[in-house]
This record gives sequence, C-alpha cells and structure tokens, in this order.
Amino acid sequence: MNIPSGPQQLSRFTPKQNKWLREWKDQGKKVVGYFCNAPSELIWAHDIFPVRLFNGENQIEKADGYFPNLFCFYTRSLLELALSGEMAPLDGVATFSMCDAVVQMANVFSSSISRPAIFFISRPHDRDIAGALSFFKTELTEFSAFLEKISGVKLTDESLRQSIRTMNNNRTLLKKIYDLRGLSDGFSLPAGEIASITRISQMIPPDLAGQYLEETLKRIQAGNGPAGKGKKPRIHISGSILPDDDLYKIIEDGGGCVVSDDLCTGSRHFWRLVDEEREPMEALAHYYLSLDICPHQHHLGGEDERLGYIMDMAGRYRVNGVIFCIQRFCDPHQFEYPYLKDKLNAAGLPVLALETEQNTGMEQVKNRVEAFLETL
Amino acid sequence: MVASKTEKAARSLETTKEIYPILKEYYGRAWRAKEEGRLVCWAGVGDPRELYWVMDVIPIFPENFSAACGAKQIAAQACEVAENCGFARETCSYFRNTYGFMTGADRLPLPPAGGMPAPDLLIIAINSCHTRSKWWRIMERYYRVPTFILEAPNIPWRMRMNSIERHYIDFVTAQLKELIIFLEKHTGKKFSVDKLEESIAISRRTAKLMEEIYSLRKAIPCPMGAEDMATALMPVIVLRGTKLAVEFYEKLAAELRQRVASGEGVLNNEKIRLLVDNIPPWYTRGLYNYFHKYNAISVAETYTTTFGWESPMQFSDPMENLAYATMLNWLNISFAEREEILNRLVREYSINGVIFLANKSCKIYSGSNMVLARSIQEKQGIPSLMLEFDQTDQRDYSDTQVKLRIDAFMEMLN
Repeated sequence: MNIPSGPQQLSRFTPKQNKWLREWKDQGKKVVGYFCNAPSELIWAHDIFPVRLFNGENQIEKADGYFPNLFCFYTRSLLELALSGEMAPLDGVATFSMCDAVVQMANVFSSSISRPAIFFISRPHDRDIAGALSFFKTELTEFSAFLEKISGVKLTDESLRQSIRTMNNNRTLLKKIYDLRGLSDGFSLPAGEIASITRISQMIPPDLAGQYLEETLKRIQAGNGPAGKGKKPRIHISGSILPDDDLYKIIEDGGGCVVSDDLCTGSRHFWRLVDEEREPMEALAHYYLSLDICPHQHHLGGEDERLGYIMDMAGRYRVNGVIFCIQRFCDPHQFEYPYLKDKLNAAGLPVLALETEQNTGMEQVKNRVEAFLETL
Repeated sequence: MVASKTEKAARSLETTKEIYPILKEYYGRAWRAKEEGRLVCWAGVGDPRELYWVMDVIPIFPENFSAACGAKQIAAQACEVAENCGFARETCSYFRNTYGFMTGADRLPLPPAGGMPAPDLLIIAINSCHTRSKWWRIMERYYRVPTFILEAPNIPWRMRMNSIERHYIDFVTAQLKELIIFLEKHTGKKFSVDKLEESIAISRRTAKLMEEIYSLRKAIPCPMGAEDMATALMPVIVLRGTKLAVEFYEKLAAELRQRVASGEGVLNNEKIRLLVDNIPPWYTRGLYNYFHKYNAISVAETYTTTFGWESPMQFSDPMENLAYATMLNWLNISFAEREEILNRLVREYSINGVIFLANKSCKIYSGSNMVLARSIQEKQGIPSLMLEFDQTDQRDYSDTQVKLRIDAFMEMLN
C-alpha cells in the first residue's frame, strides 16, 4: 500500500471512493468507520482499519426524507452519504453518544440503513461524576466484543498497547506539523493543506498514516520559507467541523494566516496523548472520558478549560484574533460561544463569529472576514 | 413583527379546572420557602423528584416555567433578551426564555405566578437532551450556587426499557447516591430511606392512576382530548411523589370513568382519532380544539406518555426504582423502541392519523419524525402530517399556514 503522495488539496473521499480502504479489504480485512472521537485504538487493535467519517460535499437531498432540517450539516451530510451507498464498504460504524445530533443521526441510520451495522458506545459527559469510569470501561469491553465479531481477531494487552503507541505517534507528528506552522512567521503551506493532511491521516490505515506524516513533516521542514515574511494577522479558528476549506482561503486571500485551531477536525483530535504507562483499557477509558475541551462535555469548569486551551494556543502561536466557526444548529458550541467571546475579548483577543452550513453566503463571509482582519 | 393569532384551549373536563390554582399555590409555596427554612432548587422535569420531597427541598422547574410563559404569550420577548446576549435563535426556547427572565426580568412583562424564586441549588438529571446540562452550567455561573448534574445514558437500540444492561442501572444508582450526599450536605438534613419508600409508594399509585387514565382515553368516543391532557400533566411533572398528585389523578380518573360509563365523549360525533407527537405549542393549545371542527380529536400523545409510564416503581429496591424512573423517558429510548411503541399506540387507540409537531427547540424529539411517519405508514397504512412549530417561542408560528395544512390533512382522512 502506498502512502498518499504530494499535496492532497481535495481530500474528501468517501469510504466508497477511498482506495486505501479498497486495498485493505482486498486483503480480506475489515474496516470500521467512526464519527468523532470513537476509540480508534481499540478498533486497530482488532486488526480493523478505523476510518474517520467526514461530511461530503454533495447537496442534501435523500437525507431530507429521513431527518428533519433541524440538525447540523455534518450529521445530515453523513446520512446523505450513507443513503447514497457511500458507506457500503464499511463492515461497521462506531458511534459515541457525543452530541444529541449524532445520537439522533445514528438512530436514523440504524432504523433506515441495513448496513453497515452500527455500534453505539455510551460515553458519560462528565468525567468527574460517580461511576463514570467504571460504566465506560464496561461499554468499551462490549465494543471490543463487537469488533472481535467483525474481524475474528481477539484483543490482547500487547495489541492494544501497540495500537495506542501507533496512534500516539500519529498525534505527536500532527502536533509537530502544527508547531511548524504556528511557531513560524512565514509558513509555506496554505491552511487548507494542513487541514487536508490532518484529514487524510485519519482516512488511511494508522501505520501507513504514521509514515505519511513522517514524510510530510520532512517535506514541510525542507520547504519552509525564511521567517519574517511580513506582518499578517494571525488567526485561531474555533469551532466544530468546517464543512469545507473555503474559510481558510478566504482568510488567506484577505491577507491573514491561520496559525492554530480548536476544531474537532483539527487540534482537538490529537492534542493530548493516551497514557502509555497505564493498563491500556483503563488508559483508553480515561482518555476518551476526559475530552476536556469539547463543548458537549458538561463537567464543572469545562468552558474554562476550553478557554484556557484557546489562550494557550493564542500565546504559543502569537494569535491576533479568533474566528468562531459554528455550524448552524450546533447546540454545544452555540451554548458556549457567548461566554468564550466575552472572556476572550476581556483578555484582549478580538473575536469574529461566523455561522456556517452548506452554501453559506460566501460573499457575506468574505466581507466580514476581511473587515475583521483589517481591525487586527 | 405581526403576531400570529393564538388560541387558548377550551377544556371539557371539570378536574382540569383545578390545575391553575394548584400551580399558583405551588409557586406561592416556593416563594415562602426561605421563610419556612426550605431550600429552593431549580430542577429538571425528568429528575428523581421523590428525593426532593424527602429532603424537604422545593423544586421549581424552568422548563415548566417556560411553558407557562409561552401560555402567557410572553416567552418570545424573553427569548429575544437571550438572543441579544449572543445565543443563537436555534437554541432551545425553554433555555432562552429562562435566560431572558434570569438576566432581564426588569425589562419583561410579569411572569406567571410571580415567576421563579432565585435558586439555592441547581439540580438536573440529563435523561433527554444535553442542552439542559449546558443550560444548567450557564445558570450555575450566574447564580453561583451548588449544582448537581446527573446523567442517565441514552438507551441504545440494542436494548429496550425492560432489558437495560446492569451497568447502566448501576451507573445511575451510583449518581443517585451522590445526589443524596449532595442534598444532605446542603440542606443539613438527614436522608431517610423510609421517607423515600413512602414517596415512591405515592408515585407508584400515581403511575397506576395515569395508566388507567390513558386506558380510559382508548374508549370510543374519547372522554378526554389533548386540550385537557396537556394541562392535566402538571401534577405528575411538578408534584410526582406527593399526595396532591394522587388526589388530582384520583379525581380525574373518576371523572373519566363516569364519562366512559355513560358513553360521553368530548365530541358528539367523533369521526377521526389522532395521535399528536411532541411538546404542546404552549402559546396556542387551542389548536387541539381546532381539530374538533372536523370531528377529530387527539386521543393520545407521545408527550403525555413521557410522564407517567416512566415511573411505575415496580421494584422493591427504592434506588432501583429511581434509577429506572430517571432512565425511562420517550426521549431517552432508541428510535427502534419509539417505533414499536408508536405502532402499538396507533393500534390500541384506533388512530386514523398522526400529527408530528416538528419542534424547532426540541431536536431530540423531532429527530424521529420521519422515521416514525414512515414506519406507521408502511406497517399500518396510517398517514402523518408534519407541522413546524416551536414549543414556547411563538414568533415563528403561523396560524393560517398551520390550519391550512390541518384542513388538507383532515380532508384526506375523511
């Protein structure tokens, strides 16, 4: 299997279009897709290729007949892909009880699409509440049983440890790439390409992803331009999932540069490492229970932890302004936004909020972003 | 903004007339709580309410309050206050209404029953949507009072209400025990398992009465429509576990028995039996009466079944009873189970058509609309109507449009 070569600008291939998936299955092996933060380490430890599912770029048509227009574009797009047969090659789908929209969408999947089989993992939203860890560990054990049925491969302590090491390695490499970008003054690659690299690394087998990221890191280091290419406004993007990469281009065309993010499809996915010292199942349970900087968590102090994360990024990468990019109908992000905005403003960081869904009026977004960049 | 026409419900039953006085008296009790040495807790409608009575805490429900504000036609203004503070209009209108009154009451009309007295505690069981937990954290920041958020996990579709896996029940029980410790700490009172057993026994009796009431509504002609039922829910929501709730439902059941015995229905010439899904449009419950124009009546609602069947309290262990009662909720079961229940209700209530209120504020309610509509059409040939609404923010309600669509649906059913 070959690693992806060169800059992959348009990397929104569906499972059906995913040639690595096809090659993997040609070997007689299995693939399980996942939405957000399902424990991909566990999937990989059963010798199953974990592939992250991103929204597509098609118009929503079929999904409107199954799911009301009250949910974010991300979930509706995933449903659209499934109804269009784009998920057919998957042997299973893992879903967390992430946010309400995903739970609802997974329910629609389960009721309306015969395959792939979905496994629902219930994940408490408060890491500090009594009984949470013990409950979640049982859920993970059941998930492991589901995976074993799919691949016929039993989980071992060593296979799980190895899997965790592989994923942590990929996370570390992505973090290094982000550092290369964020710490520099004149980064050579457009933000859309970094987003693309991040995405691809979650859509190819994890060991191959590691090689891909190593190569990419070397390529970037070699091609990185000299520092001090001029004072551009440095932007941090905050939100969930960008439906496409247009915003990056708009910011760059407007004279700004994206230096960091706290996006589900960005740093939130890889910033922290699973503890390799702990018993592996325990370590995984602890890790996925403590997704501190995700707004669908409701433990005490969650908003302040996210605020702290953004401020750390802002300091580390010399951010001048924050652009919130919130999907329309995204409750968790919409509930946190006013508090974060006020606190960031108080800390001297200007904030722009954009609401997105598919085909958001691009002209309007452009004007607002350009006006914002001019103030920085 | 031109406000669309809204209508009050015209009720048929004597017993439902008692609701407003009960509500008013209850809120009055909450306002007197501090003088009487009791703590006021803002709570969720799916909470293990029995614990509050045992610990002598007065629960007030922002969701119930926001429904009442909708009924009083003032929720929209409060929602605007929240929007001006940066909250998206797509967020739950119960939240926006509460936020509006929390931060901007001086600019708003007088709320019903004097409004909610400020909380000493904030408690909620998350057993439906997760926006409530974010909402409670926002209120916690504002009021700076001790807060407890309990989570009942979603029941996955591999399980049914009667086959919930042990670790789910254990998880909820562990949290209930923490909640008791929390309540003891902040009230300074000791928890009594005997008092809990008493309250649970009362809830058990309430559940039996509600089961009978729902059963009586199967009669043809139906003795009680949604226009009465939506209001008559108030005691089990706000007062589950108290004698007041039992007394009310005993009266209601008696009135219904008598009506069924004498063949007295709401309608003289009942032709169409409807099932309505989702939270009532609080600002225009007269819509349920609009059906009568077509000799149609809502004889069953998924909303009403959420309150009553979830708390049968059939176990001997009180904590087990509370754990199940906290987990079981129409909004916490899988679509697979919703399909099964809905199809059963359609059969048992001799339903001719289902109306889905696609509630903008309650995504987890509305999410199953199309799946359910398809299911009853495919399995039983029963048609559905989808109407767009919000539960308490009336700005998006168009009376003319909604009624036109109902007219067309009724003509098709006839």
